Amino acid sequence: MAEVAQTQAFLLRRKTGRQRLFGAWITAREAFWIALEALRSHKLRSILTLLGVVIATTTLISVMSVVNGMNLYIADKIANLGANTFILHQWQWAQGYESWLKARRRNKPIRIEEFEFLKVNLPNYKNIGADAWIWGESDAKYGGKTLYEVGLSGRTPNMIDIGQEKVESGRYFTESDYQHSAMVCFIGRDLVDEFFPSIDPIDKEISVRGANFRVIGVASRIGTTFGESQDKFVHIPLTTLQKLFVARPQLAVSVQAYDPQQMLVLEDEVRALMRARRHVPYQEDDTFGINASDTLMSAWDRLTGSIFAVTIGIVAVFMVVGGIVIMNIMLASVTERTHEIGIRKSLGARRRDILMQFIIEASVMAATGGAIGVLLSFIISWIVDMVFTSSVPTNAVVIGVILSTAVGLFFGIYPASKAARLDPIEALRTEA
Amino acid sequence: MNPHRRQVRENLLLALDTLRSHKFRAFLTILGVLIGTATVIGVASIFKGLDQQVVDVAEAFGTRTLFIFKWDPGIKFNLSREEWMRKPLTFDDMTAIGENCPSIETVSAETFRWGPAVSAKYKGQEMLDTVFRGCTPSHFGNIGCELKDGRLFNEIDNMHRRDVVVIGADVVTRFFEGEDPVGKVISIDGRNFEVIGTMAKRKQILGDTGSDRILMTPYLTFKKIYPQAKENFITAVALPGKLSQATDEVRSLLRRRRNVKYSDPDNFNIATAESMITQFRDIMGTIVLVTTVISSIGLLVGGIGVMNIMLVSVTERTREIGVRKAIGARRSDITWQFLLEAMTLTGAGGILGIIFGCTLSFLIRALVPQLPSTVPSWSIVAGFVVAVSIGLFFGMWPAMKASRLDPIVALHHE
Repeated sequence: MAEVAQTQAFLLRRKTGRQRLFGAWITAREAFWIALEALRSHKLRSILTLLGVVIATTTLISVMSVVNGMNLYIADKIANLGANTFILHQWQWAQGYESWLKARRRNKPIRIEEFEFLKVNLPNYKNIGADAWIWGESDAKYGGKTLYEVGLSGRTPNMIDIGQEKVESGRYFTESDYQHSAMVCFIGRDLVDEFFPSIDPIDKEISVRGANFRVIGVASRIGTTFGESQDKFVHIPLTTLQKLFVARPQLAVSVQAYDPQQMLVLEDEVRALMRARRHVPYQEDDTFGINASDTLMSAWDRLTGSIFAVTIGIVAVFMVVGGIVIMNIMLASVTERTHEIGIRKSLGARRRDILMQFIIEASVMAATGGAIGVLLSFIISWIVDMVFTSSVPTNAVVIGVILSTAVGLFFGIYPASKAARLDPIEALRTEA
Repeated sequence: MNPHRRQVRENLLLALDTLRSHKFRAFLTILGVLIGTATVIGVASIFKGLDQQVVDVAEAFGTRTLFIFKWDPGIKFNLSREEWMRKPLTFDDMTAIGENCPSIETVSAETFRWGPAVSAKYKGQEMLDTVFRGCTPSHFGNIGCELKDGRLFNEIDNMHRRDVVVIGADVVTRFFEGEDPVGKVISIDGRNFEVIGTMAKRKQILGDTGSDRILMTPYLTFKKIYPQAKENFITAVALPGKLSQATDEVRSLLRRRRNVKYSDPDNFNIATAESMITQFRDIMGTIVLVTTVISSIGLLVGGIGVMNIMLVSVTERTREIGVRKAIGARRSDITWQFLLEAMTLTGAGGILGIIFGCTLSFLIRALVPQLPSTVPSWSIVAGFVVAVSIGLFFGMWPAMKASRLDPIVALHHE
């Protein structure tokens, strides 16, 4: 205590310029140590007070992590169309039932001619590919075994550079397979597991929808989305699909740009080219949809954004409860230490010093709680991630610590100013 | 340990007195509990409202009605292959149920087509999201549909396959604002239908589930337009008090008709209002649990605040405790004094929280009309009881600490 008084007496003499700033720093540092000392001397009380902030911060960050985890999951599994890639399709995806009904009737499907047209007229793209799906039951058969409902699609050879699939063994189809409508196929891991668990699938013939295809390559495993396997597919050349199943398939055209900026430019180019080709009048809406991952993500945000915001809001209220606990304890602490405040004041501590002392004490308490809460929430998030999905957003750590410190600051102001305004004579008279 | 009634009153007065003397501190302590209780009650009221809606909708269908379809009516994403391959129920299944099940009063069938909605047009206006279906005349009664204007179709309309339609409330508001819809002709999927009646607004879950956008034609008319429509949704009304018997009869009849082997499970589903409510509650169970747990964390934080303040209070009043002990207060008296103080604090917080939570729920209902949140009566009782028990639980330790003080040491304390 004597040291404190000495420091303050020393500080009283210095008042100008940079030294004043330095003085404030000394006061702050001093107050910080006093705060730690106060925390140590009332261990139990401090732990309880911290506990409130810890629980509040942990809950807040954990909820934010789950929300973030779900957003990441959607971004990765649903809205991931490939790097710098957008997809031209008959309609805009995820725009709601009614607008889908309208678009479905109004818009014509994207056809091969339009794909060829874009391929020739679109300037400066990295890749342009197309795929068409066969809807309905496509069962794959090999050696007496059947795998039901595989996803059968026809693709251009360069789709391997655009889509998510990677070649694990063998090869994707080539321009030559495409030109010759070769009876070849590229299959997903699930088919390998089912048909070729211990033999090399390459050059075996599987039957899909009654046609025989020679396996030329296998994709590496993609995994599941919402429990639905993404590896149950058979890719065949688009021309083969035309030859066997649908002469005029409805396409989804994937356009890949070199970088995100150029992707926006290309989107406009495609829009202009398609509108011109389809003779869409100036004032009319597009008769096709251009889908990029950001439009899918914004649809997801529209769907869930407000629910998430409300949840996080509710949980953030707990921080206020934690803050109230701090304020209450600080008030009690001020009452208890009235005598000490009186001594400090009589030895020359100014209002600012006392104010600083208690505000810093409250903030240190809250910040410690926040830091512990952040650590705890990492553990909780790790556990939740094993059964569901959760990922601590980097800004949540910052938010957790800053928010709890701010709560401490805010709720410390009133007790601190109460302490600072004490009359030294009155305070000294109070029994310690 | 049980104190005398007078002592309780005295302790209560003492507690209230302490609250009065530390107004601001008491208010802050209460505030934590208040916010916690209000959050829990607000969240509970939202779920209660949702639950009430489901019960209303299910009961509007009729508590004696069996809903028979090839699939479970619940929300399900991954249908198994067996489920996909199930054959539709047929019109003959319906007739057979009517003829062979003695506990069944009436049967009806509704038929529909898979695929996107058809468009309806009237005077240049168009509606794209309609629900176009055909049903037998008794169907309206079986699903608890009420007529508003005009008439429902009858067996003669059905036999003659007349192009008549009974329309839902949303179709009326879209097409016939300030106009009498009965007798008007609307075009559905390119075909003209005469509107003969309108349905009253139906109860729905979360605003809109399509039951007011309905266009209902006679069963055979629908079959005339779409001969390929194979799906049937059958409803059967059981005689009063014979619901479970009727379920068994229908089940064994359908198993025979659909050639289900002895050991195989049903390849159809029979649902009742009750089973739909149970199913919904099963789905909601975990969500409600998780949300309630998360929202009770506020209460926990508030409780910790109470404990903390009680500890401070004990320290502050060490001398008072010493004096009380010196003039004959027993341990139990001191314990009860502080316990009651804590319980009074949190009880007051609980009551305020209940009031606040009810206001919150009222605000939600006013601002989000699709979600008529109602405060469940049990949550008011639970809110108060939990608040008081929080006081009891978190007050226990400080109270014990106070009661264990040595009177001599306590009196010594300045």
